[in-house]
Amino acid sequence: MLANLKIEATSHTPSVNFNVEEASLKLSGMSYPENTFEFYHPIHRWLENYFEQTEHETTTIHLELVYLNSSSLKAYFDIFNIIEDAHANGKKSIINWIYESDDDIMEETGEDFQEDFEELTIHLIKK
Amino acid sequence: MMVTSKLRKIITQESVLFSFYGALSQPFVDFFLSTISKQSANSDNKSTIKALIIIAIEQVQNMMNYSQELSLTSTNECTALGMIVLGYDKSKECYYVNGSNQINPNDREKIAEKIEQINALDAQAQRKLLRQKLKSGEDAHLKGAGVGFVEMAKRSSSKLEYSFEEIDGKVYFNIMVFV
Repeated sequence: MLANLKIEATSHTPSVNFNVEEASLKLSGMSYPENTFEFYHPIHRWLENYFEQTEHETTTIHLELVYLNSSSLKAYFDIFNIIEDAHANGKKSIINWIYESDDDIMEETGEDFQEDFEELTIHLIKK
Repeated sequence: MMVTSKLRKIITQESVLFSFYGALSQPFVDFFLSTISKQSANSDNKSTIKALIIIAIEQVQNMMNYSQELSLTSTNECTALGMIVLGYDKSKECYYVNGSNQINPNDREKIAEKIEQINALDAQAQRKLLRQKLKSGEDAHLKGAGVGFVEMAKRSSSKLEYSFEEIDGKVYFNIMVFV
């Protein structure tokens, strides 16, 4: 069985808390690493494995990000792609895109993802 | 005349808020972000400050990937050198982020083409171009998604300004982004 994935936050990478039993996935914090691929590649692989194996009908995903550099933006685009593929295979997700109430940029980024991934349920939630 | 005196003149004239020339690294980006965030904690225009920080991070990380001016660290690793300046343009009444680094002369046309393509688009078309590039990954490479200029343009209030200059046979790229 797939092990939970837990990574502590750094000044430039978010904390990762993926729990298989609870079908709950959380990414929270800053994201502007120098080598985005190195950080997100294992996360993408883990998510693909998770959606292949999970027996939960619905997974809850919390994304609470503060800064995204452009290569992180690409990494999240790829995460949404994985979630969308799983969705098409009957593994549903509810995504909570959480941001500070005065953060127009993260709000707009969330709206962009809503527009690009119409099939997915993406809630924009102001803190 | 003291160098600091000369620099102070420019700092005053150009309303410089932050400037740096030297080896760029991830710890520098962390330092920069926390310094600017603290300086502007009480600002009533958080979105502008955030846009400035995002643009500056893009410029610095671009330089870290592409600068041809390198120095050796104590552990014998190569670090990219570059210049980054944040300030306020009084005549335009907006903030600016101005970066500069030495480039590979062969990249000159490629960079100019990329920026011209982005400058020719309106905000909606820039947004579309960004989403298309993120989707296709067409400009992606190991270090990034290759969408730094589009992201900067999206956060900017006007066109991306740029220039190249040749000094002692070396080519430098300057970019100026207004918010």
